Amino acid sequence: MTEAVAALAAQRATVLAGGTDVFPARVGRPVEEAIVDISGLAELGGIETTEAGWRFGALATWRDVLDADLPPLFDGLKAAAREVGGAQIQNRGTIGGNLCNASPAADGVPNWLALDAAVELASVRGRRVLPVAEFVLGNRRTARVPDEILIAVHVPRPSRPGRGTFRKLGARRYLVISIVMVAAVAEFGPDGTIAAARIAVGAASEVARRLPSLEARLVGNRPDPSLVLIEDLAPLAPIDDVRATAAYRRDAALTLIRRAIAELA
Amino acid sequence: MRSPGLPHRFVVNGAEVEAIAPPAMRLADVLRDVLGLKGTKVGCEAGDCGACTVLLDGAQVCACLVPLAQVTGRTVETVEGLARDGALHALQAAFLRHGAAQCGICTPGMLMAAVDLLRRVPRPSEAQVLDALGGVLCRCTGYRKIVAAVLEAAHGGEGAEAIEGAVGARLARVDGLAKVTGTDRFGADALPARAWLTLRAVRSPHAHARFRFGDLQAFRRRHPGLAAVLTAADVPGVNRFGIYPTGKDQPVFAEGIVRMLGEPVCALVGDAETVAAIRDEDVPILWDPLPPVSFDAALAGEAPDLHPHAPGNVLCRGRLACGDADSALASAAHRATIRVETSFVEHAYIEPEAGYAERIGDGIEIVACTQTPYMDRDEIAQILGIPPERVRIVPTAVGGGFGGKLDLSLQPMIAVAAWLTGQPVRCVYTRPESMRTTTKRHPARIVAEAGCDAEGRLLAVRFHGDFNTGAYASWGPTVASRVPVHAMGPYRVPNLRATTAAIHTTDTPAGAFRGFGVPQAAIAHEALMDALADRVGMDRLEFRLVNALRHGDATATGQVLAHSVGLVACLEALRPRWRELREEADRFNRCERGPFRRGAGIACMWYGIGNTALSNPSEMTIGLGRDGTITLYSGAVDIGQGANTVMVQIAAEALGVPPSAIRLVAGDTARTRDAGKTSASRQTFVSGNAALPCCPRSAPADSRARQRRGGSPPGPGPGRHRDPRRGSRGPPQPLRLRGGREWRRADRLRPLRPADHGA
Repeated sequence: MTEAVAALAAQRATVLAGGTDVFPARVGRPVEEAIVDISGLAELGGIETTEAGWRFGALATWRDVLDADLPPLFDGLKAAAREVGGAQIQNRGTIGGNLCNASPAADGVPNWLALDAAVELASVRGRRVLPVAEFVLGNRRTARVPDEILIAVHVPRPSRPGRGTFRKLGARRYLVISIVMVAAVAEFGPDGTIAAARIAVGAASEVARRLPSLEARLVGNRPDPSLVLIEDLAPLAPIDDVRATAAYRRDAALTLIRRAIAELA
Repeated sequence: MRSPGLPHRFVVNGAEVEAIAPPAMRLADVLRDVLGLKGTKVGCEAGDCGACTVLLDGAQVCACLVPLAQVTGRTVETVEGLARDGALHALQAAFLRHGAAQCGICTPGMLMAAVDLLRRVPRPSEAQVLDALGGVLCRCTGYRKIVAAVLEAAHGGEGAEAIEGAVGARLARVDGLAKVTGTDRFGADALPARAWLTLRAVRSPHAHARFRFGDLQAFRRRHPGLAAVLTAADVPGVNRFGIYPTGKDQPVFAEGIVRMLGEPVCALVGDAETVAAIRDEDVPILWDPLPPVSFDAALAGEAPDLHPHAPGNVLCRGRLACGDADSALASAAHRATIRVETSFVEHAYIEPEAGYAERIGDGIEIVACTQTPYMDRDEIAQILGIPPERVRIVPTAVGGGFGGKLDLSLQPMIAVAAWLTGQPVRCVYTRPESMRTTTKRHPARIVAEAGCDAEGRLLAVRFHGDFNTGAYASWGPTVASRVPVHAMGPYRVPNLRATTAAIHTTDTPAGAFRGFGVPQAAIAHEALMDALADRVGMDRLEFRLVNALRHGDATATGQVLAHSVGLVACLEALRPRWRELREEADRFNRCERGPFRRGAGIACMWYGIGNTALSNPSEMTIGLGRDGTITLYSGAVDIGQGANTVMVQIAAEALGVPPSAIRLVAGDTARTRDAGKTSASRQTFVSGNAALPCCPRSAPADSRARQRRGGSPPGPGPGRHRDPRRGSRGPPQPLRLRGGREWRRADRLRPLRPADHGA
């Protein structure tokens, strides 16, 4: 770790782990710039429970997420892991790289938002922790300073039983970039009503967004798709692109949110 | 700055290897270019296609996404390691039996993904197979045969046993073993025997622009690794190519103006590292961008002409009329109209264009993937300014074509480069380059109207389609002429007016893609059939049945369908299942409360195989060697559809020998005659019919084939096998075909040798 952060402090370099975003950005040409390969750093691996919740090492692959023994809170994250690329990408792509690459269509990001996760960054200056919402800033933009390494994602343990779900719309089942996706996490009170909810929509704005009005309305109710209103989409700003029009994305988001809420029941 | 080559030790297929290469080099490139293991294919370099799937410490990964440094001390397994001691892996055998390898470009990746699965889950469910193979794309099979093969390899079972036999028998592909073992050689796998130069096209970043070069000599001096920078001025013959004799409108290198994004303006030829390191922006080119010409602007007549021979940007028009469509429609009891707009579609064959050219004396040889060797030969001859006989096209295995490899791509550039430098020149397109610059399916804007009487009998169809043919003609004229012929669908339509136009724009050229525009038209005619059936109040299948073409009917062109017309039989066979499906869907929809609803649809299409309004020649040769070996010289290129196998099978049946008794020489223009292009579903019918009479026993074979189609068991009986070794005792006798033509002996069609080029 010390060597890696020192290398990054000494010169501008690209951080390489699973390579599933680094190489596709360099089709037809060799890798010419300086690279700091962090894939051998044992400290960055593994998924484990901590006193406060769970720690996902930045090098944890989507396959590791699928294989990990995790409670229903992470059912959405696991569903996303199953639909990232194909098995080859799941075996190599890391949760840390997915966050740092900051694609608006990154399947991890809405899940981390719904899980209320925070990232831990390391540099020669020490370590810092940032909520995911403050880390991913825009299309391919994060709060990571070039000499920092994202080393872990922390998920707090809710005080109540929680359940997560994830719905992705793509043009096909595998190897597809999301047109729109929804991650939802709800914590339930003893009477089965929702005590807290976090709903995030990805690929429908520059950064995945949570829907505060919907989250507030769900509290005190059982999961009911009819509670979802079109006004809840206000934080979203979808664009027209090759995958879909903005109008289609809005419409699909609404449907996916309703299905996700129904699934939480 | 690139890292120098460093030694990296790891294990490949059980053997320890040391690769000296830069640490960030892709494992796929290390396997292929450093270790020579060409079984691992590269389709995209971006983890999008899975063709390069290998196992890293037992887990499937895309070798294009793994840096060499991360492989150190680990184990890699590739397709070359699957067969052991000459015996195929169970998965390879199952792939072969099921026809799960068609073109074969995805096969190594599919196999490795399946190996990964079966080691973890020896008895997988179908869903587990889908999950495990989901990261590998296949464009030929539709995946079902692959899934069936994996399930059979895991669970055993009878499966689909391949039978050695005549037409109709389930024969394993004659080239299948090479495909499942990774030894088949595709465009990027074939390498020249001597040291070669690498070529990369420098392409326009603008859809429409004028340009001029800065100081190319100084640029070349700055890059000592460059052997040449080729421009239009370097083309020895005509700097034009195109499909039609009258449509040679596409330059090898642009001449001061580009009409599409990605048009080649010059080519860098040199050592691979130098060529890869130079960015297009580094080449001194001064651009003067012009407004692009969109489909809308071209249709509105608001755009400047892109070609002097196409005023109003109309490349050509098609028209077919019979009867009086206007008055028939005016008096029809029911009418329906539709507007259809379709987009560009990319063929997305998993093998990007690749190959090399080598000058041999005053001739040139091109080893590359193609669907049409003889057309390539004639085009290259014009570009180099030499007679076609001095051009030899050697097609490699083709990793999917679907029409996209009917046009020249890199061949003109590597031909010019090899011709001028005297060294072999190789080029492999990247995936973005292939997608951006090669032909696409024509976007269509169609307006169509149909009318029928009160009983649902079609009276008339009126159709107009505008097709965006892009910057250059390519197969635009074929689309314009083929669509009107098929525009009304496979129905009796007494009154028709169908018109088309192929429109130039500054988009990527649209060319051939499975159907030459007819699938776009089918969307329109089938929507019209549904709408009319609904208006009449008839079942949609029954409506089509009433109107279906029948034996003896005349089409709008006046062609009388004198042979079989299978549509009525198809619809009648479908009828029971169609009714069940409708009822099942209704039942489901009445009960279901979730988000899903079901429906059942029916659509018919027709498609004339072979060339449109042109002669359709194909020539085949069969030879009997002095040792009794029978060799079929077939110019019908196999792009995955199975031409290699079916030609052998047809010849075997005609000769009364087992297919394994026939040696195949495929594709090479120096060794095979012109079988025409592999397009429009023509090879089995047209070249297959050429293969029949070139076999001396073809007359009895004809009648045997007919009998077999009547239901007798497949495969020639044991008593009918002629031992090829005994069949050639004594001096070869002249053989006669039906009709008295002399059978061409193989030794007259000898392979091209360097001496043939006058070297």
